[in-house]
Amino acid sequence: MTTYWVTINRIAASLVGGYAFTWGFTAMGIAGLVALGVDFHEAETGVLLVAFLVFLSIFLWAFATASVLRVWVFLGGGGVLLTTAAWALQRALLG
Amino acid sequence: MFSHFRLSMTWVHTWFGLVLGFVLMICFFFGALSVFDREIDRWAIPETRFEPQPMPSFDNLLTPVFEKLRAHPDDMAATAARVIGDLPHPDTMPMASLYAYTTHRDPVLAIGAEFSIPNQPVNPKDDHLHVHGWATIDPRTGETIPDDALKIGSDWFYPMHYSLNWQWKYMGYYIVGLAAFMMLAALVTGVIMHRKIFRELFTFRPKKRVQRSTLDLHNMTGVVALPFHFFFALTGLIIFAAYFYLPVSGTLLKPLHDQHEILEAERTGLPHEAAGIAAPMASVDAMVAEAKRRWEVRDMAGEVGFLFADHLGDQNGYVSIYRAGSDRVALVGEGIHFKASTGEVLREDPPRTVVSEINEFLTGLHLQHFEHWLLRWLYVIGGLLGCICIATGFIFFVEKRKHQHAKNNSQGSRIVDALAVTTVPGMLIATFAILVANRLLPADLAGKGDWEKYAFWCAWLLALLHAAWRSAPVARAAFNPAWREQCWAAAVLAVAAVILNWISTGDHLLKTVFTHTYWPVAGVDVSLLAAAALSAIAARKLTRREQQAVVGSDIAQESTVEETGEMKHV
Repeated sequence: MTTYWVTINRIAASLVGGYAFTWGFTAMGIAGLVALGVDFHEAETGVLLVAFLVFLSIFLWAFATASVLRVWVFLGGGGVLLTTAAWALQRALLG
Repeated sequence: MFSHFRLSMTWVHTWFGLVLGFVLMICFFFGALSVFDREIDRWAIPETRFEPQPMPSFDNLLTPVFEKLRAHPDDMAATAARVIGDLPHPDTMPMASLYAYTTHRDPVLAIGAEFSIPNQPVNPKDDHLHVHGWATIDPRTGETIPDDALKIGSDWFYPMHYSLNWQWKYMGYYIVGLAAFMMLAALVTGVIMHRKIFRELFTFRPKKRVQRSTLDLHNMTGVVALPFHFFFALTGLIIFAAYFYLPVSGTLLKPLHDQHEILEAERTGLPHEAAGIAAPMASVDAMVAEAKRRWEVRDMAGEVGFLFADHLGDQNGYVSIYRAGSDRVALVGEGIHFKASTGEVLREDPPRTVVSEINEFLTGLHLQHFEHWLLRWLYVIGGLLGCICIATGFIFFVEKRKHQHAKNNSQGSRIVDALAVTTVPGMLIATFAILVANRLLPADLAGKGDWEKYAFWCAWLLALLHAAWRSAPVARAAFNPAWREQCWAAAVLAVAAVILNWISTGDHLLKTVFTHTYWPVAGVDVSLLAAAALSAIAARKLTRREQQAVVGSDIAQESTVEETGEMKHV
């Protein structure tokens, strides 16, 4: 039974954590580029071109790394931080 | 969880590859068919078997057609659920915008419109309140193709490869997205697992044991078409990223996005909103002529691919004319925008920026709207190589484990094998069944398209049940006769489709190839016969294997020992 949960936890960390991080990366990437003066759609298109490669790398890392806790902290935490930062930056931009 | 890096990558490859491989089979196979979706449409709707046509005259031919166009009952029902109160009668809804779309392979013209409604939305955030209408017309006469006539290529096989034709909550799109992502992961982990990547290109030993030759074929097809597979999975994700997979700009960053839209409208001079002042429409044909003249000046003379008009009958109305991208990878472009009431040019799209050029090139290469028949066939081969790669993955999974599972009384191999049968020959059966149903059902049958869809799903469901029922021997490490039986069924159905096409339309291959050459229909017929021949060959080989297996099971056991060494890590 425990191996089941170890596996499910790892899959959840890789997919949910990985997606959260990718979401944060995308949001922050777009907002950051817009803040630097890039056109919104340009920024969106550019970030989405690389977003899945970012997701792919962190997804595989989530399986390769030893500690699943580290995966949750880095990906989940990173995702929340980046998303919050993007939201705050948007507020500042729309001011 | 894993003792070393390669083991963890192998785990990802095996388990995600297995679970989502069944979805990937559908994506690759129907994606390969989508390359010739318009041609399959011609086969399925015989009254549209004529040559591709340019965009017809808007003023003379399309204006009366659009006057007759009404909101579609399907979208009326869908919209009714989103708004407060009853929708007005379709005859009274004013048309807000319209479009017409064609490509170099389309005899027919796709048209559509948005109709304004006075209702308030149930969800106040729902800001796109229109009812849509659409139709397919013969651009020579303006006559509408019956709505019941399902375009089996472009409205069934094509959406199947990115949405599984499962629209509920867009679940199909999300599952396909996850599968495409796992395709990327499977390719990377596959390379990590194998190291000797170059050698795999030249390694295929069909005479060896099934498990060995299957793995050879799995590796070879995976490596040969590696860039193709990676590219299509990745660009498939990118195409839907902004809308489905990472809808950041429609949710979290919506305020920033909306502000940009308003600024954009100011900058381009294309009004974002209607003015509320009525104004007539100037000659659209004159606008088309002006657009063509401007393309020619830029040394890129071309035809109109897409025509769009917004804020119809309003002073802020405008008409956008886009060039057909038959000679370039990027999609329709070089838009020229006119003020609808006067015909004066409002704006010419500037050359694309580097980022959007890259994006248009990548997605354009995936969608392949340009004219290049050789590349079109290479896409089909690439897609089918993907299917071989995935299917051999299933077979390898089963071959590697079935003896162990038989010893442990596990049903694992049996389940995988039954699902593999369903997604390999079973998928062919479903595909050919819809074509057979298309030719058997009378053209004037009410809801004909729906009956064809039922035929498709029922045939596939039968294939699943048959595969599950016949797969019992797999649990005893023996062979599943469903593979052979379904190969025969697919062969028979494919030949039947060709014969039924001949009987119902008079278009046999001698006619479509030689006397009245019409490649769209001839190509579908020849492909069906080729598929039938391959299925029959496969079925015969399977028969022989089964007979040999009975005699030589002891010999096979001995030869495993020498080969398992190199396969241990797989």
